[in-house]
Amino acid sequence: MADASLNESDAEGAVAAQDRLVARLRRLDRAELAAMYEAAAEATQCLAALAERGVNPVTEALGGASVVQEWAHFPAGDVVDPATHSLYFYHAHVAHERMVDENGHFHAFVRAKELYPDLEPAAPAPAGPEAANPVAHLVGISTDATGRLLRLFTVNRWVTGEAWYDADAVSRMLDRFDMSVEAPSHDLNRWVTAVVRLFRPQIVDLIRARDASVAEFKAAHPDRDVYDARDFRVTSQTPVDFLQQIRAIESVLGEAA
Amino acid sequence: MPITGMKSALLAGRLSAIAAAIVATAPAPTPVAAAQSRTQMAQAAQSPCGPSAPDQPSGSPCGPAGASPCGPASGQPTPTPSKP
Repeated sequence: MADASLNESDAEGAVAAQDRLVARLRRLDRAELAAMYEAAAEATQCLAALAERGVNPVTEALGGASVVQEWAHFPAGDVVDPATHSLYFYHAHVAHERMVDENGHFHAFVRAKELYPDLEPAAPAPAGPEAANPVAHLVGISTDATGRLLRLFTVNRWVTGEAWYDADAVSRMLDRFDMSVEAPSHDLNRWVTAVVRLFRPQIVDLIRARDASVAEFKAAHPDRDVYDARDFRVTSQTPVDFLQQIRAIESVLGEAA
Repeated sequence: MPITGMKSALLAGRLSAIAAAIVATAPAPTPVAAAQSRTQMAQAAQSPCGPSAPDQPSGSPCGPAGASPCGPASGQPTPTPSKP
């Protein structure tokens, strides 16, 4: 599902986008905004630590590889936190599947059954090695080659091979995502965690929009398995800007002060 | 680049200024190479964005940092749960 605002590149569009963002953040309570601001500080601190070593989130994820081999996972085997059942990796699609300026994206997941053993998915994971302990996809985080955030997105079930939980369940899982392990990079792990927290309102909106677009597809194609529809890949997306997010939080916190 | 005044900037609502300066220092881009193996192409056609492998069973220790906390994916085909 395309978001028209992804094409807003002129100044007027940017101002309108910022106004919408501020309006969205005004609906949050102060504690939520404060948590997002803390996450922004952590993400900033991680970026600074990475820059100090001459790397950015993308090059750190590559771990010394000089190129991003399309479809390969970085780091190999993904980053897994067995204590929080969270995991993520970075990869790049083939060129025609990447948005303008996109180098690749991070995918963030949790092991849903580990966190909520009694929670039944709306649709189980496809048969295979993942089926017994399936993941739930939280969000994709697109970046350019410098690690600058470009967009957030959700995807259809077949794309990740996940168990499909409804928006309320995935929103709860979102709060459990936490990469607390040190390897392979403390700064990268914390940056990914902080980005998920910083953009929580947008991610919750995306997850809800994901369910809405799936329902729309089902209604339009009642004879098809929506979760396995190969022509239905990205279920929702939105452009994001790290600095604009921080400025919007500061603006709303300033109004409340 | 040392982080100076991060906490006070946070308290004063001035984090964006520090973040802007740090973002401006991001290192140079990395090129993207073409896919190099048929195996990866096939995996991409199934569950292109799925995880590499199930993580350790619940209750297993994480293991020491720098060991192999991420499973035996290196050099092996990436398991993918769905079939086209």
